[in-house]
Parts: sequence; structure tokens; C-alpha cells
Amino acid sequence: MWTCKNLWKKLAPLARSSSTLCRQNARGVLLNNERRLPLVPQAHMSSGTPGSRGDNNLYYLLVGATCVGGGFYAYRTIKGDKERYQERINEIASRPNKVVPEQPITEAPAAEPATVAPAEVPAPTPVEFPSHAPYLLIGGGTASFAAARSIRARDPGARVLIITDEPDLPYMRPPLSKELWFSDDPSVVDTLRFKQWNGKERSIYFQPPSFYVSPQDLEKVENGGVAVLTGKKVVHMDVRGNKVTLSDDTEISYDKCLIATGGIPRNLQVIERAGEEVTKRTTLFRKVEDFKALDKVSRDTKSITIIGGGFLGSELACALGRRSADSDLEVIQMFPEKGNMGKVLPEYLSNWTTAKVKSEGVAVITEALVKAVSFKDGKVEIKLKDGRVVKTDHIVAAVGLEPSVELAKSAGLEVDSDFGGFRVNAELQARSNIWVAGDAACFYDIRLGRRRVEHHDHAVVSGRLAGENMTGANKPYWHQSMFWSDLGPDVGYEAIGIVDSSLPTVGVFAKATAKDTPKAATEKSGTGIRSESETEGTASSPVASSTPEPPPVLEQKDNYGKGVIFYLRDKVVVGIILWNVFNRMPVARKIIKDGEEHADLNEVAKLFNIHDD
Amino acid sequence: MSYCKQEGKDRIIFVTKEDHEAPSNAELIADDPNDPYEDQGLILPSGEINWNCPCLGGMASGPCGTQFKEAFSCFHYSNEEVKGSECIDNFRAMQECMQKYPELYPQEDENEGADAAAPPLVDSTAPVPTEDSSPASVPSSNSTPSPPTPESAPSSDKTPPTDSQAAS
Repeated sequence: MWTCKNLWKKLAPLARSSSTLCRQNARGVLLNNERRLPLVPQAHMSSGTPGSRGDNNLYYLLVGATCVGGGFYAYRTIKGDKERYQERINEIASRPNKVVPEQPITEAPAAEPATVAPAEVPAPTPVEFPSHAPYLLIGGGTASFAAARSIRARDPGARVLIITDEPDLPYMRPPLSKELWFSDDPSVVDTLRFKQWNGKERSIYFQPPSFYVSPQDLEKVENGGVAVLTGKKVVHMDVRGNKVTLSDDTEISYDKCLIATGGIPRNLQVIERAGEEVTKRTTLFRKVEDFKALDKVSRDTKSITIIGGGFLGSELACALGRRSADSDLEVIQMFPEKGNMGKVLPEYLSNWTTAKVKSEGVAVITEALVKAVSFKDGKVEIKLKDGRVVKTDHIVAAVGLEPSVELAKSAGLEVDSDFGGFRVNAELQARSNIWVAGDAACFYDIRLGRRRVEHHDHAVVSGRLAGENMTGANKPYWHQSMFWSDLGPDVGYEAIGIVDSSLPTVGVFAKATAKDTPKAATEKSGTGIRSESETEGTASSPVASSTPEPPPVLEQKDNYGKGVIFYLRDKVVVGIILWNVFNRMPVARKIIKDGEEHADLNEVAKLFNIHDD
Repeated sequence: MSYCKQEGKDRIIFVTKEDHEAPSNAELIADDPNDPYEDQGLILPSGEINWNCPCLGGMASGPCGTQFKEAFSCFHYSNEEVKGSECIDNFRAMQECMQKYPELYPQEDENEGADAAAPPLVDSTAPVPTEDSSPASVPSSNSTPSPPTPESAPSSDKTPPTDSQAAS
């Protein structure tokens, strides 16, 4: 926002430059006068001569006019900004439940001394909350659940209270963009059950409702338990008094507290400002309700565009692309990078992945910067910076996560300026009795440095660790978490550590031999002939590469079917991707833990036995 | 022979099976079994049970967690000829508790639950009753390109060959 200081800063150079200009002009005029009137030199010292006095007046006039003009311009800008700001605030306030408006936080401290429920709050339903929870976990996601479990395992009879603003019990997020979309069950949207890798079915919920104790009983139940308070948001935290205030002004005190508030999906500014017709056709994907909504949209519309080329965007694109095979749904994915996972995978692999995503039925638009979005003639129109226009029915924005740090202000906790999130130490502690885990924690990783990780396994690992430390373990973050992604039937990878495409990488891939493309080979060239050549030498067989496959065939030597990719920082491996190679994560974890410089990474790659299945 | 190329800052090496046949000369630092930072397996170096081991799933933290801990501790420290023979009461109490939560402890695994706690759970294919909806992680032998496990609570690196998690 504009302040007087900014205003002056803006005006000052303007005034200065204009006055300099005027002075120079005046001086120029004076000098000319000097030359023209050499016989009356002393006249120039004073402002007595009619010419120079007139020039001075001109000078003052010019400066005055500039100041007025500048002032007018500044006033208009401030006015415009104020209007835009007000618009923005109104939009945020009107957005249903997605973003907490800034008002409650500033109002809460004022409301606290008032205590008594304000007049406009309707008579509260008589749900009893415990007034004190020995272990209070703010947020009901993966990190919180992992912590609850850890606490219960280590502190016999522990009483754990989880407070979440969602209506659901703790659940796991990865299936929402993967397995749930591939389920054969038509009622999957209601059951939320999926098939695991081993064929066994399970629900996305960590535990069924019978696992939990009701909040009212938490203080009395004999052996303690875990209670979940749904639909309640913690709006204020009193660190000195060890208590929190909920959105309905209830206060709950704690002994140990975990903040696992996760984050909310980011949105593009152009979409936020595009008006209601666009925003109601935009999905920000994160929760169960978003999955249900998007599932419905995919059946009711003809065209969906996903903006974002990272994990979530690419997984959703593949999931919807797969669905489009049975319907006439058009799936488009656009992002500013040159290829899918452009910020994670090295360029050659990102390009290869993009080709795979395309073969899943997705129309991928790379190097796309969204300039404007509008609703025209019943279609959402996306204008790109380079002039291309994309017309679609629905947008899914997968452009990142904004960590939820609203409690930082009232709690007096530090927020990290580089990575966002609450700043905590290596033991995930923000202050005495307060820990942070999951997406919202910016922590110190002893091996890899300060970072913030937004992956499921990290939520589990950090939640567990926080739970351990809340029960006195005092252990730092040491067991490196991993992550994984699947993009269609040909691309599945597990990764660990810092996997940033801007780092130098060394990729070791299994050279495909005739054996590695048996399906394509046998289909095209006849079984008998192919099987004879299978035992031939290791030289890349040109026969296989010339065998056309429905998607454009890549040259044999550029087939990144499976391998290991090392990410290096100062010659030390800080990240590893296991590309279509599974069950080797412990080896990868060990290499990162050692933090050694390896002269020949091919030798390190040998440890993975990439040629075995 | 292996084939190597450089694309900018990224190096790409293609290797055949034969290239990787010779054992690796990469040196890894020996692990310290008593490292306090490391995640431990089921039994801690001190001999105590690690209730937070992912291999136990939610057994020690659920509603019947107390009963489970008592029963299993009794078994673990038992020095009888038939290990755990004096712990019958504890196991019975555990079974009674589990019967109250059929959703969490499916009935058909009831007996497994009682027996399973008995034999050592260090084995990675530990027969700890798989609560149907328990987030107990499963070993990820991903031959198919599907994700390891929904809740990958990594276990210690000692027993299970796979990363993600120890058995349910």
C-alpha cells in the first residue's frame, strides 16, 4: 500500500529531475544572455535583468506545474490501488471457506478480554469440548495423525486432541490424485476406497471412526485416546498462557502443542480477478471435497484445462486423460516450463515424460504463461502471453501450496522468508512446548540444510518425529523421507532428498536391449524371429529401434526406461531418483545420509542393480 | 559398452547389464547400530520394545493399545520354557478389548492377533493382524509401477529389504 513515504519517494526524483531540467534550461538561457550581453556582466549576478527574472518565474512555474501534475498522478494511483485492494479483500471474503480473511486474527486479541460470546453469534450447539488437552494437535492431516500415533505409542494413556477445520477425519492425500481415479467402483466417490499395490483395498481414512474417542470423553476415558474436533478452526494462540482460541471463542489449554496446519492451494492472480463466472469454474485441488467436485465436473463437462506442470498437475492430467479415453472429454495441461515436472526432472527426462503424458490423452501446452482469463460465450477463455487462446469449460489450478501460517502472528512464531512456513529447529521445535510438522514446517535438515517439504512421506516422518519429541525423545530430523509419483503405465519413480532440476545431475540408465521391449518387438516383427535374437549381443539392436509403436518410437539409445538419477550439490549427492526401479530406497537413503563425494557415480549406480527387476 | 553423453549440466550414462556386473567399488560408511538418531526396529538396543515401530501398525496406539502393550511386554520378557505361557490373562484381556472394536480388529484375524503377538515380530512378514483399515504399511515390492504404499511410514533399514515400510 502507498504511504506518504512511498509517495514522496516517487515524487522526489520527479521533482528533482524536473527542477534540474528547469535549472539547466534557465542556466542555458542565462549563459546565452551572458554571451549576448557581454558588456553588462554584473547584471547576471542579480536577478535584476528583466530576462533572467522572467526566466526565474518560468522556472518556478514549471516546477510548480510538475509538482501539481505529480501530485495528481500519485493521488490517482493511490485511489486506484485502494479500489483494487478493496476489491481483493471483498473477493477473498466472499470466497467460500477457502481463505481465512485477515479480520478474525486482528479481532481475536481484542475479543479475548471480552470473553463473553458476542451478540451476533447464534446460540451454540451444546457440544462439549475438553477445556484442557495434554497433547493438542492443530490440523487434522497426515502429519497430525502420525504424531498422534507416535504419542500414543510412547506415552501410555496419552490424551490427544486433534482440531481440524475440515469436516473429515484424518485421511491420506495421494490417492485423491491417483488411485481413486483408477478405481473400477462407480461409488468410489462415496466410499473413498482404493486398491493398493498388493491388491488389497483400503479407505483413504487412516482409521475408521471407531478408532477415535469423542472429544467429550477424552478427559475421562480410562486409557486415553485420540479425539478429533472437526469443523473448528484455531484462530488465536496464546503461547504464554499455553492455550488456543477457536473460531467460536472457545478456549482450550494444552501442555504440548503441535501445529500441523498444512497449507492451502495457491491460485493465479489472473483467475482471482477474473470474476465469479471464472472462479466458480475453477478448482483448487487439495481436499476430499475437491476430489468429489472434480469427479463430477469430469463427467459433466467437455473440456478441462489443468494449469500447472508439477506433481499434482501432471498426476491429475494423467488421471483425467485416462478417463477421457472412454468419453469425449478434452484434457489440456498448460504450464510455463518446457516439459512436465520441469522443476524436478532434468530436461531430457522432462521431455521424455511430457511425451508419455501426451500419450495418456492429454493435450500438453508447454511454455505457456497465462495472461488473462475471462468467461465468454459460455466458455472459459484463457489468453496466453504469446497470443494463443485456449477455450475450455473448467480450470484446475495446480500452481503450488501456500503454507498456513496465520497463527504465527498471535503465537509470536517465526515465519521463514525463503521457504515459507513456520521456522523450526532440527528437532521440529518452534518454541518450548510447540512443534510444527508437515507441509507447514520449515525445518533444519542436518544433512541437506534448511528446507520445507510438501510430500506425504515427509508428513508421516515429521509427524512421527514431532510426536516422539513431544514425548521427550529429543531427536533431530534424520531419517530422510521419500516421495513418489506415477504418470501413466510407463513412468513410475521414487525419489529422495533434494530433487531440483537446476542442480547438475548424473543419470545412469539401463541400456535397452532387444529383451527390454518384448511386447512391441513381438507384436511387430513376429514372435519367432524376435526370440532368436534375444540372446544376441549387447550392442543396441537397430532392429528394435526401427520397430514402430503407436506412440512415436524413441531411438533405442534414448530410451530412458529405467535407471537412477543423482542430483549433486558441490559434488555431493543430495538427491536421488529411482526411475522405474523399485525396492531400492534404503540404498538411496544410505548414500544421501553418508554425504560423501563419490568420484565415479557409475560405481554408485551399480549398488542399485538397475538391470534386475 | 556403456555410452555416455552430456546435455548441458546433465550427464547421461547408458549401461548394459554386463557393464554393471563387476561389484561396485563405491565406498559406503559403516552404520553405527547404536546411533541414537536412527529409527530403530522393533527391539531397541537396550532390549526394550519400540512401541513406535511402524511394523506394529496402529496396535500400540489404538483403543486396545494398553492391553496390547501389556500382553506383548509380558511375552517379550517371559523366560518360561513355553514363552509367554504366563501371559494368558493379558492376551485374553487384549482379545476381549479387540472384540469391542470389530471394525478395527476384524474378527477373522482375532486368533491371529493372539498368536501373532507371540512369535517374534522382527520378521519383516510379521503376522501382526492387519487391521483392514489400519494404516499399517505394507512392504512395497513394486514390480508394477504403482506407488509404494499410501502411508509410507519408513521403518528401520535393518530388516525389511524395502524402504517404505515394514510389514503389517
